[in-house]
Amino acid sequence: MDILPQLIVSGLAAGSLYALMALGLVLIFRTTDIVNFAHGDMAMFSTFVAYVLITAYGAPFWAALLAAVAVGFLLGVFMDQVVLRPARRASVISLLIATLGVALILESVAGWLWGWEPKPFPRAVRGAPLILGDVVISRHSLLALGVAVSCAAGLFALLKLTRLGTAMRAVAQNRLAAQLLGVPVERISMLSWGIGAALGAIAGLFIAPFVFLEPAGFVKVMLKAFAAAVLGGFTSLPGAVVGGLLLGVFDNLVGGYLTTQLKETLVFALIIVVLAIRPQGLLGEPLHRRVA
Amino acid sequence: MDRRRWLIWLLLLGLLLLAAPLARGYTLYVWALAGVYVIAAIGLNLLTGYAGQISLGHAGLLAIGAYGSALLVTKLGWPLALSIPAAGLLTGLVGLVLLIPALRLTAIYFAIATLGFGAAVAQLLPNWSGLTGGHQGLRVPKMALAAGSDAERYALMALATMLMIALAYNLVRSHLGRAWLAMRDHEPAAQALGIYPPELKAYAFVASAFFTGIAGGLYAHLVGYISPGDFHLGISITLFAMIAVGGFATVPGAVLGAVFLSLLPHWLSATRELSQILYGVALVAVVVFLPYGIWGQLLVGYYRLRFSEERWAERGRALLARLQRALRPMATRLALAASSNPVSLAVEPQTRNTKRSQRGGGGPLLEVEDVTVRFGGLKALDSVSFTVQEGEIVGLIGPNGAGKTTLFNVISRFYSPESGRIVLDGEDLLKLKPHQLIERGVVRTFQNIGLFPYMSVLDNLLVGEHRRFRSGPVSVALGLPRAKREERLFRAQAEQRLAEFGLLMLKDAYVWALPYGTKKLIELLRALLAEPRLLLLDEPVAGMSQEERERMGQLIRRARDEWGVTVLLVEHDMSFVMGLCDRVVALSFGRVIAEGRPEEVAVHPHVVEAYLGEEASLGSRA
Repeated sequence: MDILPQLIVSGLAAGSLYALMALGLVLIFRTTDIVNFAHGDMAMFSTFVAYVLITAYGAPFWAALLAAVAVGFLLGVFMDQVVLRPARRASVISLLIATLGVALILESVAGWLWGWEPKPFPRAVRGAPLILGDVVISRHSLLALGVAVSCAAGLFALLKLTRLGTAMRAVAQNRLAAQLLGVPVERISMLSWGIGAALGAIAGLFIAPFVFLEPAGFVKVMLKAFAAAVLGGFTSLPGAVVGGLLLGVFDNLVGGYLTTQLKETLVFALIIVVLAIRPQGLLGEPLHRRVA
Repeated sequence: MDRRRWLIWLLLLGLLLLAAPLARGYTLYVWALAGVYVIAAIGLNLLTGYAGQISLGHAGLLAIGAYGSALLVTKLGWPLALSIPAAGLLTGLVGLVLLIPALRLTAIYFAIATLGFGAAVAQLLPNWSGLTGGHQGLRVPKMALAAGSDAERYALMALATMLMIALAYNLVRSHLGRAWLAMRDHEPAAQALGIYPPELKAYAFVASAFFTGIAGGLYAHLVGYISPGDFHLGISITLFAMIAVGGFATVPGAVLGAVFLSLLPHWLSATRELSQILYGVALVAVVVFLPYGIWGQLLVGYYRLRFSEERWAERGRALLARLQRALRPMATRLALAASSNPVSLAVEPQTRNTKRSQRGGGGPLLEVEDVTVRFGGLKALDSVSFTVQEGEIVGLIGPNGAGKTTLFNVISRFYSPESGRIVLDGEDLLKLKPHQLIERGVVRTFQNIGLFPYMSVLDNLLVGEHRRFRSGPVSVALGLPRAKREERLFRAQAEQRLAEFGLLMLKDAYVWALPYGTKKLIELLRALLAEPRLLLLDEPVAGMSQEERERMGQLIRRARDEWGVTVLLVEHDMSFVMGLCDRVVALSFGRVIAEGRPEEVAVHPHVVEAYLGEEASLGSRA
């Protein structure tokens, strides 16, 4: 049996979730110029809330998902308004430090509350996997793919079709000019953080059944999301999607044909190669260097 | 001075050793471990604090040092005294791998790439189990003098840490340390002063990896056991937190941060959760309350006290006046120096400006021929041609967006034109890189001031001398007499020049604390001290008061009259340009629209039109 179609399909399913995480990262980066190094841990924390609701209170998956989205949104808003607002004018490096700090806090609070050992996370849907010719795909993966695609589509629609989206794009392009034209930039950056973190929470819930849920475990997921975003260009939302999908497939092909043990090492090598050829990533805007 | 520093070092080491018998074995172990963190944090600080390259993957380098030394000892039977330095060198070479992405990526992308590097190493370790022992890890002989007690290991670590701190001090106080900071804060200005970024970044990566590798080696032989779990992402972030909390780009900051953050959990006998939360809170608090870190904040406070703004504003005015009085003897002296034997130095500097032709001799110094620059679809410069004669002061004018600064950036080689030629005294400038121009006598200033704010005035001047330093990183780090002598000589020379300008009292002032006008002046001074043939001034009097403008004008004219400097300047202030320049070139939308004597160009219909718009010019013609 040819395993190639199988590898590609499961790669796409995993990749769509990386893409979802990456979309949140890129959205936040574009509107606020901040790389959120707490993205993975924010998603982890939201997922833990869902976990508690499901296992301790017997909540259905969908209710837990909604709660996780709400927690994610609030974490994003908290990050923007409480942690970053006082440091709005700080340098890139300071803001990076602040997000790292929040990552550490979230991780250890989660470890404190829920313990460090990995926990199995229930799938969104049960039932026999679907078989299409050579390809087997679990219902959960299929649903994840669907959710990721609809979230991405929803985000694009929001950005292109609504007033809010127009304002977000304006802030992304030129924060000062947008502010002068009356766009409430504070609220926009708050919403971008909220939406970005909520997207991460959704991705987290669907990823957790594959990787187990543990406080320190989402760093690897975040690295994948970073890789996806960098691959796609970090400034480009479609780039994040393309980067995520490519990464998922690449990951699976490496795992299927070469080695499962060095996947991360090879992913890193891939990024270096791509960046060496195109420093701005696949779909990113070319970087202009301004002198003077 | 030097002897006093030795004394302080010995005193500190003595204190550290004397304190040992008072402590229990475990406390000694914890302090010895803090030494590992100190060395690694200093290593990270060389790269991140000084050279401005954020690394979140230093745990990978730490691992390479640890496993490197462990394997040299266990597989090849090397003694520790050899294996640890060898592991440092090996790690230093691996550090060069990170240089490749660093040369192409902006800060934040590079940080992400290093994150990937750390993850890659963390994954290689357990999977290369034939060599690394996999997840079980490796047992390694501990370091020992005789009996191998905790106290011995503590003493050895204290010694090693002091040694590494001394190496770091030597590095950051050298021309290399200055060049790193310069590059970090204003790369184009650093390049224009003769610094070649890839070279300096390579030094920073190797030095940083070397320090971290040494720390890794020491760690292995301090603990006696290493496994992949010791080098996870959290360690990279902890190291980063240490320098952020202590203060970027300071050695004491890295030491403080490392000692503080590595001992804090033990003092509080904290659990993993609590210590991580503490680190996290510390990081956020640092950003909000102490953006310069603990040590940085102390320094800032000290400088605020010592050089308060009002005092400097007052002094700045007095300085300008003094400067003018002082300029004449200085200029004559330097002109003499340039025409006869350069400056007598024990270390032979490169003979400068041997091609310097007779001043005032005329003949074209700079020829710009048919230069076209395109940004996307926009022609920023459209076959621009003009020449600058030796000894002239030429003004470049034009409305905003005319391409003046673009032209400067082409001449100083930051941009490459699509077509055209730029010739300096017969030499094709387009073949050169930005850092090579200063050797040819082309020196520029920047519109928004190309000084390095977090360096003293004296250090700023010394960056201008970077190209004349001959000692390499190794002799600098080891503090070889040759390197020290060189540093002393250039320092004395720069101090002397400051004194000649009457600016000696400013030598230790950080540039960020100085008033605007004084900064502009110091930038010009730095350019003049490089003994330029062609001085490119980008808006030298923008934002200055009328009084300051007049003085600046007199200074520029004197530089030309008494020192033979040819000047090409961009300026918006028309009365300044008209009063100073021998000739004016007017640009508009990337084309030369007029050229000639200032009073001719000022009334040229194209120029009037460019500045005031079509109607106005029609009106003036009518």
